[in-house]
Amino acid sequence: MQHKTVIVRPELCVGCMQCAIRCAQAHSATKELATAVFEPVLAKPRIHIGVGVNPQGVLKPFPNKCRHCDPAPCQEACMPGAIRSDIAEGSKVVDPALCIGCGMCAMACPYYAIRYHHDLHAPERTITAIKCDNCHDRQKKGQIPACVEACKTGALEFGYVNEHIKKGAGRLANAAWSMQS
Amino acid sequence: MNKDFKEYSICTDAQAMLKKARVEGIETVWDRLLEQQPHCGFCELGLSCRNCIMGPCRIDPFGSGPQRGVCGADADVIVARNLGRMVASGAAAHSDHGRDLVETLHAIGEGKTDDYVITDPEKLKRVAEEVGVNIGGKDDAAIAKALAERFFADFGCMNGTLSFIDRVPEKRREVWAKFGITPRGIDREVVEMMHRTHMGVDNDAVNLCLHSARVSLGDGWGGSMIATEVSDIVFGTPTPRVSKVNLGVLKEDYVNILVHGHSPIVSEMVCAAVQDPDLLQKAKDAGAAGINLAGLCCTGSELLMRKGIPMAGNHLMTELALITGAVEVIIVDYQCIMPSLVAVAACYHSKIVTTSDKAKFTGATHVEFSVDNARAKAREVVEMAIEAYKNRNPARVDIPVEPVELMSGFSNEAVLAALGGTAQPLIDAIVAGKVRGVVGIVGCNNPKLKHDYVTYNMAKECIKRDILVLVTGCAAISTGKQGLLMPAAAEEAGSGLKEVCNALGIPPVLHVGSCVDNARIIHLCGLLAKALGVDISDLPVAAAAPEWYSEKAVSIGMYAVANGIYTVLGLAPPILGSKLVTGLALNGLEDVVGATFAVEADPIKAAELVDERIKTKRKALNLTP
Amino acid sequence: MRYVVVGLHAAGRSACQWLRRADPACEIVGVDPSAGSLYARPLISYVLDGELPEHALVKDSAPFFENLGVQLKRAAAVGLDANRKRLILDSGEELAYDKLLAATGSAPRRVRLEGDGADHVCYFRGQADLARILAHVKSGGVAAVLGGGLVGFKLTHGLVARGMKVKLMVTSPRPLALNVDEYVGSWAGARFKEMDGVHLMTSTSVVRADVHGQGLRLTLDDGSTEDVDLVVAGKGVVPRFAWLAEAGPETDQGLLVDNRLMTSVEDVYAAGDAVQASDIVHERPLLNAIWPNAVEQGRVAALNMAAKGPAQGPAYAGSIAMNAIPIFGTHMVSVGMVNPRYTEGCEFITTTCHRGSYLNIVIRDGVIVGAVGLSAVPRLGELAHAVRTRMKVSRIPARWLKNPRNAAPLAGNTPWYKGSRVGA
Repeated sequence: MQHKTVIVRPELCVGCMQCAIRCAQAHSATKELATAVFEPVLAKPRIHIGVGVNPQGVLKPFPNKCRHCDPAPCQEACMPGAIRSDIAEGSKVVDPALCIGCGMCAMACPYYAIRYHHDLHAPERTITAIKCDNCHDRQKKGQIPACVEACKTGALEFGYVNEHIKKGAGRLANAAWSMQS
Repeated sequence: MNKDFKEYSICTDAQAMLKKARVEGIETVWDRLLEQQPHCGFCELGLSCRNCIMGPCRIDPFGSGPQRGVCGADADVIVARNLGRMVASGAAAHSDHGRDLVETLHAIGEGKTDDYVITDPEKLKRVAEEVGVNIGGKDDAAIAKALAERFFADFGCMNGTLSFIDRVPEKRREVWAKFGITPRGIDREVVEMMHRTHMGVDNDAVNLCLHSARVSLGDGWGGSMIATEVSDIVFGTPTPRVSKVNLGVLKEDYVNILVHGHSPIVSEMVCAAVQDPDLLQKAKDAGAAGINLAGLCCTGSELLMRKGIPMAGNHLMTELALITGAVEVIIVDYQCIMPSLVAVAACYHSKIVTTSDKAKFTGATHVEFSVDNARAKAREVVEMAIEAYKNRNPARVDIPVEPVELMSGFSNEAVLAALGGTAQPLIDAIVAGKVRGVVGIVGCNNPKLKHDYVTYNMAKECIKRDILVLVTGCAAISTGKQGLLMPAAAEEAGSGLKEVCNALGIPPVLHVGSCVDNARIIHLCGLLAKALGVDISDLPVAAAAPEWYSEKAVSIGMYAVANGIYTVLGLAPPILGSKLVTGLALNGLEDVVGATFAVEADPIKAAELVDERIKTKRKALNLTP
Repeated sequence: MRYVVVGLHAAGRSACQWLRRADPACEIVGVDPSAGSLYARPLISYVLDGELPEHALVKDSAPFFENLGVQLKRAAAVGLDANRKRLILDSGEELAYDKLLAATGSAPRRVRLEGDGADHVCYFRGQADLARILAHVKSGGVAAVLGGGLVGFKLTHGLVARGMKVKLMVTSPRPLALNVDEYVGSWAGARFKEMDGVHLMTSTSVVRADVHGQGLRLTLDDGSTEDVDLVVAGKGVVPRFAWLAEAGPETDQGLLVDNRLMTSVEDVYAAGDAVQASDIVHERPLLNAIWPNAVEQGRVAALNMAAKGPAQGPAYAGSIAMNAIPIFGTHMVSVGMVNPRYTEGCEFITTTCHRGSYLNIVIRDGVIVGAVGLSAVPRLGELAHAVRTRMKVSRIPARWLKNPRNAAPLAGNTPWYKGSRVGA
């Protein structure tokens, strides 16, 4: 079954980092920017703007996030079974209650999509793996992922990968500026 | 996009025009707000810095990304610098407006204009004497020239202080001296802020914030106050008068001319021109019943206060006024004029006429006004309006409401006159608890908040609690449109305030002017504090800017707090990215200047905050809460 | 179709999941003497150091296997009759199979010592080992940890956290000799030397253990003795496959397999620690007894077992050495070929950035073959990908090396992870 996902079109990214800030806000306890930045354990963004190089050698921002691979190498590397497929269909979601912060998932992830921070959902642990959860909470409420909502340039879209391919829009979620092919 | 227009504004004229705009496919400020959202989170928190091109830089408020700009500035410094520049811009706007009036006064003094005269020579002499200009044996022109020169010196720092500094109570000046925030010159403080916020100058957030206070005080007791006082001298000191407000002031069969912006200099000339019999005849020849002049925003307030010219609406009504299809020309000077007006006007026969070389709009018609040609230029613009009237499409005209009445013109002189010449009756009423306190509800509109909702409801709630409300700028129009500016509104006030209002025949909400006229409010506070022998921060007074949007409002809020006046904002300024600056604004300033900011968008809760402050201050003065 | 999965740990469980996904109607039988409990063995180190509460380690496995429709046999495999396609259990029962997966894992490598205390040496492999160690843990007591590899590291950390003084005895001249490069190995050694309660003894072996009062007296190779309350050895693992030796599979240190993970015995596949699969970097069969390899092999084996007719499942690209351990407030990570014994003649790119991170990329013939780092976990994932895909070092943009904290990921357009998308 196909699931809607966040499609990244790095050629449209201007590097404003709105996606990152709104992502952290959406994953905060209070969900409001004005209060989220005062929370005792700060929420962390799950999308990051990496510095890439386009084929012409020009520095370009690259919005980088979890691709929710299937099969997912991070999930195969996760010893306590903290990366779960049963929280939201089609998404690989870290269960902070199970994560031990060992680092194996990031070792297995080729995309630099998993980071380690003190997580407000597991405050008793010093670090927990933090990655995109496809905003499944927001999706349940009929909202689209926060990063997509924040994107002003169309570099992030929420849709079906297949339809996107049909549209011939070129680059997919896997696309990266940094490849010098 | 399918929001009910009732969500946008409490005003029926606004709702009707929004609907018309939608039908006619015209974009408004609300549409653009939706397109902009979500806004930049870094900027919202004040965490982006564009002050140099080692950057631009952003600080990650969630702690995983960069915590310092390229130069090394942290969140506190960046927020404080950004805030400082906002205050500087706001103070610059008020003060440059003030300078234009001083130049006009100077031109009168030098005899370089026939168009402008001294309308209130009594005030001229009074103010001149107050600021130490020797008037002995001088005629009005000579006094005007000397006073103008005295004020010019305030802009630089040739006096090393401000002319009106003696209006500040002694205790307040001691506070300023203690923290080094006594303003030295209007322009100087603004320029120094620009200097300090350059990379590598002032890198201490507290020091920057203190200078922000100093810049704003240069605005409040300098630029703005000079603008107010000179406007009174040249165009007359306002006295109470009744007029009308809302889009219903436009007349279907008249040539409708609106004046918009902030300065009375151009608009007063337009006001004279529309009464010219020749032009009236031309209008009639064009098929109109006459020429109708109305105001928008603060230019509108200037004319309303002094001449009783009706008021079409505030900031968020400016586009909507054009959408009536009945406006021939909007003549603008400067500040708060949305660039979109040109595009909206282009959807109709309407024209936007710019008048100042510092405020040109691409697509508008520019008619440069100066002291020596103003009257002629005003006639030219009125003729342009009459020409435009011929192109009006009556089928597209919709004036959606009947106007409501409002009373305006409460300059401090007028208030004191109403009180019988001194502030004592007001002090007595405050002591007796009939008027428990005074709140200045000022500021703008902001499409992020339901238009006029917060301002109107807060004012209504305050008068219920026997708190006398003073309004300026857009907030005055918000309350006026709902009838609060009429003496009859005393019925909605608490029993004490109602009694005082009925006795004096005044409304419970007093319109004291445009946004530079907030200087009247701090002047009045100074008078009250001096009469009581206390500091302004001891008075049972507060301020609020419920729907503010502009940098000028930041400067006003800052000088209110620096004067010791607790100030409630409807929207948070972009400082939340710094815990230090936020803490200072919300708490820390109490120990420095005796007042803080609060942020509250709910009008009832905002009134509650004001009430609490007034209770505290009344208790401290041994008055009933 | 009946699949029998022998051993229900990382590889076996992964295989059960993928068998079910690939063949919803098939019969799956899982064989494991400890089939009732579900846990990840490596997590015992997190229990030892107190990071994970003991009760969180083991869960009832019944719901997991029930959901997958796996029939459980709580028994040990003792023999295999490949001709009759029968698995023989210790209960005497014979179990018929169409395809069988050998996923019986590995056992800790035993240390051979003289003396009557030799049997008191503990190991650190599973739940039972953990229980045995915890029974001997004595706050204020002394423990000897034999072996300077990752297990020795985790043991040292855990025992210190439990209040013991630890003598870490390492045969090599520095700890982690096999796992990381010299820089990181020395860095870790230095941290251990600074650490209270740890005595790092390099180039040291134990030759004898005697019961001495409540504890043990160890005799070292230099003749000196150490009295300790507890001895734990972490000296690597040995694949477990003796139970199918009769069927005659090709073996070396572990079971040898083809690139579909089938052993030389028809319809008998193997996955996990029991397997000595081809190593991507070394290009020869090597033991890489780590969790992610086991899970991946379980998946690949399952998909090949379930492949119908001439169709084949995905080819197994090979195993890879890879490890991350959180230690001394950072992550110490390595992937591929980093052992200095093998990296002679290789080129290196070393990059450091602020906040103490370190990254050393090993290049052989222009191809990335390994990487080791500190505080560089997320980036090591990309390098692991680079190693797997034999990425040429010329394809790493200079920018990436210059700015390892913020650079965009190396992974490009090609989905590298070519597991078949079952059901997609």
